[in-house]
Amino acid sequence: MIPERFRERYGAIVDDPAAFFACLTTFPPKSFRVNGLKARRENVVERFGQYGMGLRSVPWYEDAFISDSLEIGSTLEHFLGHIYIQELTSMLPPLLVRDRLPNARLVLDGCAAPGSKTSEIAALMGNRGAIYANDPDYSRIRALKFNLEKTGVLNTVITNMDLRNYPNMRFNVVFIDAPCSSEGICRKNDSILSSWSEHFIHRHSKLQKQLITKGFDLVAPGGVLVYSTCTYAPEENEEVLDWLLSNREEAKIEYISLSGFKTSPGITCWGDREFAPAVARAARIWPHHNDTDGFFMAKVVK
Amino acid sequence: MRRQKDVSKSQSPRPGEIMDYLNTRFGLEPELFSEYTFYLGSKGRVFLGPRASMNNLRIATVGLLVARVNGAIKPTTNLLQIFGNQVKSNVVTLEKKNALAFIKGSDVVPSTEEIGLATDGYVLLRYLHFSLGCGLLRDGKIKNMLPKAKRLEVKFF
Repeated sequence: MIPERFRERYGAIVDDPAAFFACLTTFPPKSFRVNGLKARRENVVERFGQYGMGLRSVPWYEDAFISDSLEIGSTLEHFLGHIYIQELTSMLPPLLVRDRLPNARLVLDGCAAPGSKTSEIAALMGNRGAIYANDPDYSRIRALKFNLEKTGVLNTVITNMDLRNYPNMRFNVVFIDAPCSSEGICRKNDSILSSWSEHFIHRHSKLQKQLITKGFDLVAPGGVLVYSTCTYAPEENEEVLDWLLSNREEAKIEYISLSGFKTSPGITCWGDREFAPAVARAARIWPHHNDTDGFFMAKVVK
Repeated sequence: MRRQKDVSKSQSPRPGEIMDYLNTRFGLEPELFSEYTFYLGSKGRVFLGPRASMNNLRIATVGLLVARVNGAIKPTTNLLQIFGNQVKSNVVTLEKKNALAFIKGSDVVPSTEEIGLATDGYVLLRYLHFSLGCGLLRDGKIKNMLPKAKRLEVKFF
């Protein structure tokens, strides 16, 4: 059941409200990523063919696959960490800087657990350099460690800190996949909508502004910050970017383009709020455009 | 909840000793590890991780748990899976039935053909060209060293 207020909020900014709301009542496809640290894509594809499991590739990432099979988790490849079951949208942030990662010396994944993005970043770095994978919640560190072990990641330092208190280091790339109201994953989690409240949105927005500011301060000159959430709420997305632009004049948002993946620009007006025109360079990902979860991401250079 | 010892405060173990063991037992060349550093955690745990600053950080762990040193050196499944293709000696290549049993967490009794030239001690278990993990070969039997959380009933093999 989609709350009426939710319909009012997003029906006003999505291109096709009927398609959007219809999509929210369906499950997203099951997807995985071939882990380049342990396996070769063509070998995995061949083995899945032998299992009789149909795979579909996606045009925007050669290591991402969709399968209709519910038994991906019962394959030898899953046991070996040759594949990693991961939502398609979760694979996106590292791809925004995939040209930088092979040569990056220091990378910070500020909100790393459970490690899906961290292991993808490690694969794109070829296990070289160093990734500081941080999560403030110790109970989530265990899952982070398990997933990095399983995927054979060597180049991480796992830290357990409030990012706002992180020491004064400088990173080539910083990822802030901020804690959010998670509206974007409601296709596979009914409770998101059943417990949905604008109160959650406003509560997250304040923390996100602190995290993005700290994250940006940790970027080395010439480096880049990737900010992402899995929510539609402008208060947690464009408003947070607008806050950063207002408080850090050296922050510049770059256009995002992923060949074969449809995105919508960030919005510059929400209620009585006007945002800086540059927030339109961020990318909104509506679920009905690519049959994924909902997502938001921005690339900010220093 | 109990926290892992802060590895940043630990001294590196004798990396030469660990590399000597891996070279002697498995034929792993020391150059494989040249981009990384060995770190010693609590309870003799040895991690292989990046050369990185850890000042003023609250560290949970660094790199990959690759061995435990408690008198003897015990390699982990993590290590043998990631460097398995480079292992040249003490490999037990299992047939399908034994490989499935191993992945599920059982001890296995391999045939002499499966054991090949492997000698008693820690061995890499392979199926086809896949590096499955670590086992302890003793008197013709293999004790399963897979961590419980990694065991799986594999249906597609």
